[in-house]
Amino acid sequence: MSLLDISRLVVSVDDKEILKGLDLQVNPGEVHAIMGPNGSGKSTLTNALAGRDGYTIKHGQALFDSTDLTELEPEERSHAGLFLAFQYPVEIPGVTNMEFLKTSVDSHREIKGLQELTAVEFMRNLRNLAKRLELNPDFLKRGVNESFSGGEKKRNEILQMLCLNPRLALLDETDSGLDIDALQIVAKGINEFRTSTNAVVLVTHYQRLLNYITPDFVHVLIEGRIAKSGDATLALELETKGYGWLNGS
Amino acid sequence: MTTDTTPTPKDLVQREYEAGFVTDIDSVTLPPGLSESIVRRISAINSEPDWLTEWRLDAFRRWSAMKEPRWAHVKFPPIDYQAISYFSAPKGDKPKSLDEVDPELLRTYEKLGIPLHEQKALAGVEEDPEQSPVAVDAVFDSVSITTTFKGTLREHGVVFCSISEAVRTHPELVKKYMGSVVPKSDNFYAALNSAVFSDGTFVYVPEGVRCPMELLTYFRINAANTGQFERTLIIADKGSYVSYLEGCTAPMRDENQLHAAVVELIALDDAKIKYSTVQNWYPGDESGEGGIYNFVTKRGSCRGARSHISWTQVETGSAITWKYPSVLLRGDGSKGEFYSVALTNNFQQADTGTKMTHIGRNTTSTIVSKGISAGQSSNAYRGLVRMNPGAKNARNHTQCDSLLIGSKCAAHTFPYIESRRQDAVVEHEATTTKVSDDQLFLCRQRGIAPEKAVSMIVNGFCREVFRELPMEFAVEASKLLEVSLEGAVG
Amino acid sequence: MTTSETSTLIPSFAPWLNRTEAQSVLDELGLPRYRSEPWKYTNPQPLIDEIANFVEVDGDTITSLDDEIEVCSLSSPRAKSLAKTKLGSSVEREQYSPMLALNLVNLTGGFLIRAEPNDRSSTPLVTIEPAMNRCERFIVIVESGATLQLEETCDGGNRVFECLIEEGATLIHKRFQKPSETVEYGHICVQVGTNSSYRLDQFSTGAALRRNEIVVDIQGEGARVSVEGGWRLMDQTHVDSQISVNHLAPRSESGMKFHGVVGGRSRAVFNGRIHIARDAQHTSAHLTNKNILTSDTAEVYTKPELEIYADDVACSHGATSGQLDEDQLLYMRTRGISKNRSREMLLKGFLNEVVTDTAGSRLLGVSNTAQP
Repeated sequence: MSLLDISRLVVSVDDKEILKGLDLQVNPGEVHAIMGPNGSGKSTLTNALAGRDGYTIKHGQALFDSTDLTELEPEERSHAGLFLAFQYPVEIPGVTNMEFLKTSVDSHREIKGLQELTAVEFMRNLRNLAKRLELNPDFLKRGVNESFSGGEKKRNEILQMLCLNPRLALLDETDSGLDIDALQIVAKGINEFRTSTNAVVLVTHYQRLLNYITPDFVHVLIEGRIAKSGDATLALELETKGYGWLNGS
Repeated sequence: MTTDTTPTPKDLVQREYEAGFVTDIDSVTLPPGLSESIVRRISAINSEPDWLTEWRLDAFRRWSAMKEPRWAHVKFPPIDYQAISYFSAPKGDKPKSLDEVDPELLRTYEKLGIPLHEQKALAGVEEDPEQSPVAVDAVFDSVSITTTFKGTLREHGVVFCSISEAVRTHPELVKKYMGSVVPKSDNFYAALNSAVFSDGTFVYVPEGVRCPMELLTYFRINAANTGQFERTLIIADKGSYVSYLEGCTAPMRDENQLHAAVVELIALDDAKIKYSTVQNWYPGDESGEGGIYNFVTKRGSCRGARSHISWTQVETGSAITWKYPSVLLRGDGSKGEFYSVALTNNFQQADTGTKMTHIGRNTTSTIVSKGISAGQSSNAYRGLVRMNPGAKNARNHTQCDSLLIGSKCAAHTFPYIESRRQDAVVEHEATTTKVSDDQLFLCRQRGIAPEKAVSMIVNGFCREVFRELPMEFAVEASKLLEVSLEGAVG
Repeated sequence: MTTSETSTLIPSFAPWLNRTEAQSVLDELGLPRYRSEPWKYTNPQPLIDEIANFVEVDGDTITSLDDEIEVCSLSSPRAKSLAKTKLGSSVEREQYSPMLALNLVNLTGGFLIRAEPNDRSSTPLVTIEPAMNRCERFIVIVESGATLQLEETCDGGNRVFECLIEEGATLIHKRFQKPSETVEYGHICVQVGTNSSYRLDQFSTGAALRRNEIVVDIQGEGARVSVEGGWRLMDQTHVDSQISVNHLAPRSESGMKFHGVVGGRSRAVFNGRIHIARDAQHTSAHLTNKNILTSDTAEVYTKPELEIYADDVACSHGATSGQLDEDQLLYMRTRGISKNRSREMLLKGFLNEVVTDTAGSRLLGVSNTAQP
C-alpha cells in the first residue's frame, strides 16, 4: 500500500484548472523529486495536498495512508503525518518561534493521547535540533519568521519538520534562495530525517539540491500532468536539455 | 504556565463573563437623582469637612452648566442623570477589622480571586515565599470595605487607604493635590465625579521610599441603578517608586450603568509611578443589552525633574469605554508611557488613547496601542502628542496597530500631533491588518486548531503591551493572555 | 466696491445652478466656526470675509490648446445640459459643507471641461490661472477611456472643482500654489470610476491663509488614486490641507504622501483621512505626512486618520515632525560642505521625495538648478 496515492487528480484555483489529471504513488522509504517549469502546477500540488483554501479538487483523489485527504481539515492532515515546508514561510509577529513550535508539537501529542512535553524536555530536544541546523538558539525567542533572512526561514521549516517527524514531507522549493552553505545544511537535515518508514517529496526548480539528496524517482510536471518519470539521471538530463524537449510529449 | 490554559478565541472574544454574579447584601442606597441636597448628603455620610462640601458643591454647579461631550466615536442613547443613584453602601458601620466584614462580602472577593487576608497572595499566583504579597483596597459600590497590609506599609511610611479616610488623616495632602491634575471643570464627567465622588484609593509614598509591595484596588459595582464615581489620588514624593494595580468587575444586568472615575497621579523629582489596569466591567450581552458605560478621566502629572509615569491598560470590558490616561510632562527629563490593549466584541464600543503634553525640556513619551475589534464592535484610538514651545529636545514615539476579526467590526485611528518646537521629534506609525489566511494556514498545517491559532496570533499581536503588566496581575490578565512559554522557561 | 454694495449683490452667473438650495443649506448649517473640529487650527473668518470683496471680472482664467478638450462657460446652455446628464444630483454637494454652499451662492465665474478619448500619445493639457478676487467653480468630466491633465496655478480667490472620472479614464491635476499675501480657499471633489486613475500633485508655498480641501470618492472597483505633494512655508504664513480618500468600492488602491518644511512664524495644518467602507474589501491604502521645522516659532499640526469598516485591507499611516538629522548634517560638513549648503541639500532631498515635478521643485526652491 502506498503512503501517498494520487490518481487522475484535477485541481482548480479560481475556477482555472491547474492540475489536469495527475498520478503519483509514493511509498515509505522513497524520495521523489518533482521538477518542472514555472506555472506547471508544482506548488498547486503541495497546497492542494496540505488543504489550503481555494485549491479545489474537482476530480480524482488523493489518498494518504488509505484516507481520502479531502475529508480532512488542514490540521488533521498534519496530525495524520503530512508536512508541508512552505515556499514562502509567513511571518506571525509577536508569537515566538518557541511558543509556536511547542503549541504545534503539543497539538500532535494531544491527538495521540500523550502528555504535553514539559518546557524543559521540549527545549532540550529543540536546542539539539537547532544546533544541527546551525541556527542560533536566539532565534527561538524571535517572532515566527519575523525579520528572518531567506535562509533562516527555510532552515526554520526544516527544524519544524524534524520536530514533528512526519511520515510524508512535502518540501516546496526549499532550496530556493539558499546560498551553498545553507543548502548543504538543509540537505543534511533532510538526509538525517529519512528512514525506511517515511517519505519525502521534493518540489524544485533546479537540479542543484539533488546533488546532495539523491532521489529514487524524478518526475517532470508540465501543464498539470506528469510528462515524464525516471531515476536520478533524468534530473541531470533536464539540467542540460531544459524542459523544452518534453513539451508536446 | 502550559499551553492548555491558552484561551481559545471563543474564550478570548466570547468568553463567559465569570464575574457577573450579584452579591445578596443589605445596602443603604440614596434615592435616584442629583441635586445640591444629594451632594450635601453624600458629603454628610462621609462626615466631610466644610471645605470639601463646598468643593463638591462648586463642582456640581459647574457640571450643571456643562453639556455631555459628543466628539467621541461612540453612540449611545441620552443618559438620564436623574435616574441614577449616586451612593450605595453595605449597611452598618464601616468595619474596623477584617473580622467585622460581612462574610457575604468576603465570599464575593474570594470568588473574584481577590485576597482580603494578608497571608494570601492573589489567586492564581503561586505561593512563593520570595514573592512579596499584594496590598488590597476593596471598594464595593460607593465605599471601601477594607484595606490590607496597612501596618506593613505604615512601617515604610507609605499611606494606602480609602480617599474618605485620607480626607480625615491627611487633609493637607488631599487639599493640596486633589483637583490639581484634573480640575473640577476639566470635562463633563470629571465635574460630575468631583460633585459626587465616592471611595477610591489614596496613596502617598514618601521621599526616597520604594513601596515594598504592589498596591491593588479592586472596584466592584454590585447595586442596581447606581453609578460608581470613585476618585483615586496617588502622590509619589521625590525619588520614590510605586506600582499600583486596578481591577474592576460588575454583575450582569440588562440596564447600562455609569462609571465615571477620576484618577490623578503626581510624580515629584525622580519618582516613578507605574499604574496598571485590567478593566473587565460587564460588557453587555451578545446583542448589546446592558453593560457599563466607562467614562473616566485619568491623568498623571510628571511635576518633578526626571519623574516617570507609566500607564498600562488591558481593556476588555464595558459596553462603552471613553478613556484617555494622559501625562503632563512638566519636569525636565520626565518620561511618560502608555501601553494599551483594547479588545471589543459584539456591540462594544471603545474610544480610547492618551494625551502626552510635553512642557519640560528633554521630556520623552512612548505610546503603544493595540486595538482588536471583533463582532460588530467599534474600536477607536484617539491620541494627542503636543510639543510646547519650551519642550527642548522632546521625543515621542507612537506605535498604534489595529487587528480586525470578522467583516462587521470597525477600527479607527485619530492621532493628533501638535509641534511648536523644531528640535522636538514626533514619530507616529500605525497599521491595520486582519489575521491573515496565510498565518492561519501555516498554524493549521503544523497541526494547531484554528481557534487556538487565532488566539496565539492575537496574543502575539499584544505581546509588547502584556510584557508591561506586573506578574502579580496574572489573576486578571490570565483571562486574556497566556503567560508566554518564553517566560516559563526563563 | 464697498461692503454695503456687495451684500446686496446677487450674482447672475450661471443661474441654472441651484443657489436657493445652497442658501438654504447655509441657513441650516450656519457658517463654519473656529475651533470646531474641521477648523481646529484655522480660523475660517478671513475666508468668509474675503468673499465680500469678490467681483465678476472680465477675462478667462482657463486655456486649452487641445481640440479634444471641450471648454465652455458654466453659464452656457451646453454646460448646463452636460452637467445635468453627467453629474445628476451630485452637483448638489453643497449640502455637506457651508463653505461649498458659500462658493455657489457667491459664484462669479466658472467652466465646464470635458475630455474625450483620443489616439494621441501625449496627454491633453488645460491650464488654469490664479483666481484673485474671484469665486469660481470648475466641472471636470473625463469621459470613459480619456486622459486629461490640469495645470492649475493658485494665488488667492475661492475655487471649487468637481471632477468626474469615468471608467478607465485618467485625470492628472497639478497644482502650483504661489507665494501669496492674500487668503485662498480651494476645494476639490473627485468621483473616481471603475479601473480609472486619479493623481493630484500639490505644491504649496505660503499665503496669508490658504485652505485646501480635497475629497476623493472611489466609486468603482480597481481604481488607483495618488495624492501627493509638499509645502515649504516661511514668514507668517498659514497653509491648511484637509484631504480625505473614501474607498467605497472593493479592490482599489490609494496613496497619500506629503512632506513639508515649515519655518519662520508659519503654521502648517494637515488632516489626512482614509475611510474604508464595509464593502470595500481588498483595499490597499497608505498615508504619510512628514514635517521638518526650521524655526522654533513655526508650528505643525498633523492628524493622519484611518476609519476602517472592512477587514480584508492593508492600511498604514505615519506622521513625523522634527528637524534635520544632526548626524547627516555633520557627515556632510566633515566632507567640506558648508552648514547652510548642507541644510539646503538635505531639505531638498526631503522635499524631492514627493516633488517629482520640475515646475513643482522650482516653486519650492528645490530644483536642481536652484542654488542656495
